[in-house]
Amino acid sequence: MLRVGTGSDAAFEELYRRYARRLQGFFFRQLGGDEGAAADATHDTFLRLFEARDRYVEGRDFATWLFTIAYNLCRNRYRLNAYESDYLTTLDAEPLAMEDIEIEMDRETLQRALAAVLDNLPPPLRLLFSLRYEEELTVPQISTILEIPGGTVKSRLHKVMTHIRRELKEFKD
Amino acid sequence: MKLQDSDIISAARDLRDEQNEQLYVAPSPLKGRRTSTPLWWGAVAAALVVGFFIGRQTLSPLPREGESLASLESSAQPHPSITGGAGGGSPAIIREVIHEVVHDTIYETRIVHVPAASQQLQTAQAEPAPSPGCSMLCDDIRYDLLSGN
Repeated sequence: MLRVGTGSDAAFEELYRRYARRLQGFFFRQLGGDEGAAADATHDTFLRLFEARDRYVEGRDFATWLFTIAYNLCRNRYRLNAYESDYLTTLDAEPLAMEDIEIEMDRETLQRALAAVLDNLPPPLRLLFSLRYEEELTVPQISTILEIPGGTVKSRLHKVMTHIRRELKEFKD
Repeated sequence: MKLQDSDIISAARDLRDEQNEQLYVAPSPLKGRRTSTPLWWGAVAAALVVGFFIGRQTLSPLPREGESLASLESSAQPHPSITGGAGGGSPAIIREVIHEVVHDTIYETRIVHVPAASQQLQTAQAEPAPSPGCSMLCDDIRYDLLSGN
């Protein structure tokens, strides 16, 4: 990224080659499976990154920076700001569920069921699940992107997983 | 099988891999933006080259020095303007004649010097002497006879 900052087109191409498919997949899942919107959002993200290349600080985590731009684009596209804020305030107020939801399911059924459940997750939860388990970002990285404490990230992740298990159980029943 | 969180996460990653593989990823936006200018310039340059060769094919070549003189001899026509001698005397020995030379696609005029000897002959042939007029008082016609009829 430092080389991109010095104006190296080859370095930018290399970053694009490494991250574009991953980022487009992220947008594809966040934007309701709209492939065109996902491609546009990917281009927008890289253009913003290129425009902000002078502001990149050495030692800063690149994936965190990239997904911060991507997260803000998602929020803008779905005008999530007010809705997300209300939803997450309610979610944070709920106590952590300690129930043990037992589900028995073969792998093939699990894939089908999980695809349906993830498609119907509320956007803020879908985003959190995606950043942690699909994009495999760490809790500190997500904490930086969402600008919330790490403890809040962990409690929300626990609630997301509980929500998914409930939905999967309903799907099976 | 009883599902653990790790099973759900693993299934989610399998789904992610399937979806990511199926996506068409367009070339870098920077690449498209940067290459558009050279392509545009390339098109202009190609058009110039093609236009140059088409122009060469359709236009006649410019006459060389020897060719223009030869065509002058065949198409020269005398111009009526003649330069006079100093103080209103006899015409100069040498006169200037403007020749109009028309090729297929090129029109040009040139001044050439020809001997004045041929000028008198050409002038005599070109203009007959005007006949002077006469009043009806002295033309010897009897107009009184005409009016009587």
